[in-house]
Amino acid sequence: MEQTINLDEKFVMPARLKTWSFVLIAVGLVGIIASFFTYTGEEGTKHLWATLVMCAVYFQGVAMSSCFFIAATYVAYGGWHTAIKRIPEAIGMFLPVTSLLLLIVLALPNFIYGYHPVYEWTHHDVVENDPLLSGKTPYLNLPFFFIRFFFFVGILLLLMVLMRRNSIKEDAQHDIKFYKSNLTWASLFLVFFAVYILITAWDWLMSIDAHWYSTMYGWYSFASNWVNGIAVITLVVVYLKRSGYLGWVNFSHLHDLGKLMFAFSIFWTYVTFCQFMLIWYANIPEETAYFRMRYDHFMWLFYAIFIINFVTPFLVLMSRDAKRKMRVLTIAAIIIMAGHFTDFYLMVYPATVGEPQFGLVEISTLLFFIGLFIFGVFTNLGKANLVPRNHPFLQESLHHST
Amino acid sequence: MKHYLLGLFDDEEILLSAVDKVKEKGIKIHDCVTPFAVHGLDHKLGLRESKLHIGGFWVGATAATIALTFMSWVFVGNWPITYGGKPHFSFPAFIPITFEFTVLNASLWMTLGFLVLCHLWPGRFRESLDPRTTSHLFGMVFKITDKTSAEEKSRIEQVLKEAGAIEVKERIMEKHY
Repeated sequence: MEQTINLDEKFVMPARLKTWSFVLIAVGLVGIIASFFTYTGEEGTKHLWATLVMCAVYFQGVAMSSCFFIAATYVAYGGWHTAIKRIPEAIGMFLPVTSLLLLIVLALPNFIYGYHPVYEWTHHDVVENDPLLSGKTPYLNLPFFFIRFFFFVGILLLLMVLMRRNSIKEDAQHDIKFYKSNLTWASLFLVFFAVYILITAWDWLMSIDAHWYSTMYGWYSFASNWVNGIAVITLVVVYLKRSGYLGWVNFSHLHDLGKLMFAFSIFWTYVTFCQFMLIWYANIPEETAYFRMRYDHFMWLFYAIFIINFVTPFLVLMSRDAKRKMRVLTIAAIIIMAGHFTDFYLMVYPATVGEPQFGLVEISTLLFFIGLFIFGVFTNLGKANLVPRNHPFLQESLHHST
Repeated sequence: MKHYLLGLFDDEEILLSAVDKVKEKGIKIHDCVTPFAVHGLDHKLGLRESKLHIGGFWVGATAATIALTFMSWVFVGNWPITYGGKPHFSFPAFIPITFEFTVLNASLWMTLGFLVLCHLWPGRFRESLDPRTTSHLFGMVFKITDKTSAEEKSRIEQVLKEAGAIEVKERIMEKHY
């Protein structure tokens, strides 16, 4: 793995990657448009919008986790990640796109149908005759829903853009003031992120099962988002390294990414099991309804996510050598990404679609988002140096060894 | 009787570079004694990786199996009691205890294993090569046998001095240090 180190290196998107991303976007878009004609009727539209919401939330989570990675490492005065810092930054700057798409899939159905097919609490006639749902209207109503969306997503987006701008300015000018100012933005980011991650978990995911609630849900969906975000960062780092970039990234950086994937896979298991066990133990009907639904219709997936998201990363990434092999990291990252997609699937589908289904709409939406993600992230990567060369912790990171 | 040659350094960076210089000259380093774990030293000395964590994994796996089997046997076979309408084999309820038992065993047995591997059980006393290597000096140790000639010894001394050793001394000890 001998590579020359050139700190002025810039990423140039290969033409083939660009073509492929456009093909994915085009195929996905055609598939989504075709789905609008094939998935009709009440069940069909519900299914269609559930898929769109799920994919948008999934990719919003990836982008937001990368922003969180940047902010958390700033506040912790972290140094090791400086060599790969531009990758989470590039993924984080994909946030405007995912936020816009998410806004579209959350808002558009309300204009088309007068309610959102995925969210039962937007149906006026249902809410009126349902004491539980009408009791929740002070929180679960559309104006407040979008106020929360704009407030939290807007603030976090603004802070991410500010952090990115400082980071790029730092490349041109050797000055500590950019780092200090980013420290402020990162601290603010974390404060708002803490509320964002809980509120949006309730709004976008938990309110699909509007009758049900769980106090562990925010943690659960955060853990899923976060480990998935790290897996995506790892995958992009390994891809760039394989393509001959990032000569300064050594096995220790890969090792640390592997450690994060390993640790947060266990964290995900911990919070997921915690949520399940408390509900299983208390055995209160209105709480167990959530798992009853998953157990009756999604039993294999329900067990499979524990195998995919816990047992596999736990055994694959346990040894030190495994975390230092790019091939193993790639496989582990892909398994984790697929596993957490299944996890989101299990959060959204039981209350909307009811049966496990994977067809045209799922595949085309996924292709569309993957294409868009590849194009957006790698375009962002090309906009700046691949390493923040005036970052105060750069030397520490270049000599990182674990 | 054990016979050692000890080169003392006052900085870990000098020690690290000295290891390379001494190895370049084809001299075999027996060991290094430092007041704290010097990062990268084990790699430079070419020490094999510790097997402690592999032991830890198998102890953990055994403990998890024991805990699960024991609880299943007690609550299903030996003394079944119905708690809150739950089935006798309530797997989720066993998980926290299995987890705790696994962690407890893995960590305790790894600690004990570490002490045994370092020959540090209670009552064991070992003389230090030089007490200063426990506080502020870094030592590089060479073994001296009957075959080692006086020329060889002075060559090692020379190399150590050139590499930045502040002091070179010989120690004859009753037992392994």
